Amino acid sequence: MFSDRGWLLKAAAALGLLAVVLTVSRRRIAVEYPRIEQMAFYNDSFRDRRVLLWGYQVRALEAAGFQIDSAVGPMHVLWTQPVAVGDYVTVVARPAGHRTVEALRLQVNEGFAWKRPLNYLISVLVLIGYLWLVRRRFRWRIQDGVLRGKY
Amino acid sequence: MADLLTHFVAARVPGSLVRDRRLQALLVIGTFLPDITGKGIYWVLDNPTGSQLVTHSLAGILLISYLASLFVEEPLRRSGFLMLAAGMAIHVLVDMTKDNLGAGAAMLFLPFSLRGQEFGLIDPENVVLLVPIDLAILAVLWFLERRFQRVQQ
Repeated sequence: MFSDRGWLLKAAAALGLLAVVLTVSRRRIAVEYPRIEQMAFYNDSFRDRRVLLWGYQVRALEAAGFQIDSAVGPMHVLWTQPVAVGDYVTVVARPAGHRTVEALRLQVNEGFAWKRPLNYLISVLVLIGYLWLVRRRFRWRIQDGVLRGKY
Repeated sequence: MADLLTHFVAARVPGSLVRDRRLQALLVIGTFLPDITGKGIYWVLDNPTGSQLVTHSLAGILLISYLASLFVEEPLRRSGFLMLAAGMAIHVLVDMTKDNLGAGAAMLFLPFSLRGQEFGLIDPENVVLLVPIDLAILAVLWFLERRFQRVQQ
């Protein structure tokens, strides 16, 4: 399993298996957790599903909840607790009708607008910085393996 | 996702017990892999649904670390695989501390089960506030490693 014999075959098999896992998972997740955009074409098959909304900005308040943007236009989220226009929210919701979901659990993500970019900035810097620091532990002739035997 | 500094520290602390520095590097690189491969599949293959979840599942950990280990020279490959897999597992454990409203920070048993798992300890967006603590841990680790090296000499 870890020898050089049949290297290409092993790599192809692992890659193929990963593709299968990705495809099957993607299909199952798409059914169980429909995207908010699909609520534009609501039907009864969505009734018991869950819609996960991460980092959506509240665009407008409504009598029974609030409004968010999606790729196919505004969507309505039913929610009784107070939120403010401009808040970023993470929501676990269930489909409730045409362009409408009912929030079951909701979290206001305070500082989302700066915490998220900061997260990505730190991550990129750490990745580049670490690879730079350990660059001498690697060789760049892939056919010989990526790690140096001695350094 | 938690920032990669937090993931780096979470892997670097146990990594200090690994004497071979190449394997130590693989443990740390392993902890970067779930996010790098997840984002890679998301952007390159334009697969927005579940790519990040698969790279944070047990099947994803095993397959991706095995694939990555094939690029390690043969004598080191088996231990390299273990280090990469351990790094990825540490990453998923750190992510599972997040509170994703019960939906689960990871779906460990994909593609067989869509049940999410999480410990629900911290607001996902507040993980970045751990950066000062991460830096303090790194400083202590650096100090201890330097001291240990001097004692050995």
